[in-house]
Amino acid sequence: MTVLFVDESFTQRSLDPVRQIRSLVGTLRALDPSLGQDSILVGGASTSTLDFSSETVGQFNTMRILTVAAIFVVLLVVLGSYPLAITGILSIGLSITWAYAATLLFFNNVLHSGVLFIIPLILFLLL
Amino acid sequence: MTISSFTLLQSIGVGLGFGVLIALLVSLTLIPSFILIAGDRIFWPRSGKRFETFAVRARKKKAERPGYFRRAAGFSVRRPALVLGLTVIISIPAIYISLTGATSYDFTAGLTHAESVDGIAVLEKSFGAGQIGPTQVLVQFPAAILTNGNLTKIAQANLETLSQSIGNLANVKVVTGPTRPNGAPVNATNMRTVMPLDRLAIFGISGRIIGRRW
Repeated sequence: MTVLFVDESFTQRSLDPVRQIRSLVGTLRALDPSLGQDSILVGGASTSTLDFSSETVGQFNTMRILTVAAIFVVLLVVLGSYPLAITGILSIGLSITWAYAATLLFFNNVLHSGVLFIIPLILFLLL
Repeated sequence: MTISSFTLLQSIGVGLGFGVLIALLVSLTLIPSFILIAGDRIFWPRSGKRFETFAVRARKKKAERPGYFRRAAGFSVRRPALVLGLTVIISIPAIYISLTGATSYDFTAGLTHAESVDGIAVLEKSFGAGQIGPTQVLVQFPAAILTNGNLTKIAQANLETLSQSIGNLANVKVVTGPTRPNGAPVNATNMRTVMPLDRLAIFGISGRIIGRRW
């Protein structure tokens, strides 16, 4: 089956229905034993974008934890102090948060567009 | 990032890793050698007399008015509680904005003069925005769904349930498939009742979707 959306494929308004379609398929398969026997897959431009975004965000979360832990260990060894290492981590975290918030404010209010979902990851890497 | 299973992240991780490693190697080997060979000429054009003039001027300027970094550090040392309080006050909305801000998924946004973007704009204007990147729902049945050229009742019911439910979602313009060749539901279990054009569309859709299994 082919599903055409009102908006173009890469807008939030086209990605939300993809989530809804997947959820709907799950519900219908649970309710209808006949549909439960079928194998149903949802694909396409919006779906690929959504999966790409989910995968990136998911792996980014794991990376964040690992990186912060690694930096903490390095700072602890170099500085030899827990408070200094924690302050170092917090200041880096604050820099990233403030920078991302400022970027979002600028894009949403001045340029009237959204920030690419991959930007938090890039900011994290750069800062 | 290198241990990530995602190629994009993996490549960034490997690139960054090599970048840091090479920068470290260069800093520890090439730069010291170069400085040693160049000697004082490394500071050219601010070397010799020019450096002395510059140093006097810089010292004088510093004595008259301390630099921004010194003033900022001095202020933080004098008012630590104020700086900490301001940090917390700014951080709360910053965290909120970071967590709730709208993000974009369009990598082509901003490419105003790219041929591909112009082409998409024309296609959107002519055929509708959703036509460019449709979403496909693939249903694989455990058994054949055609008998004597007609769709089985179970296949018809299942496909129609899905089509109807998906069609009711917000932002969905139209759902097409074997039970809805042109968006409107038809009874594909009896092809004789289906209009010739719809029948052609059904076989087109079915041929594309189910392919050789038919």
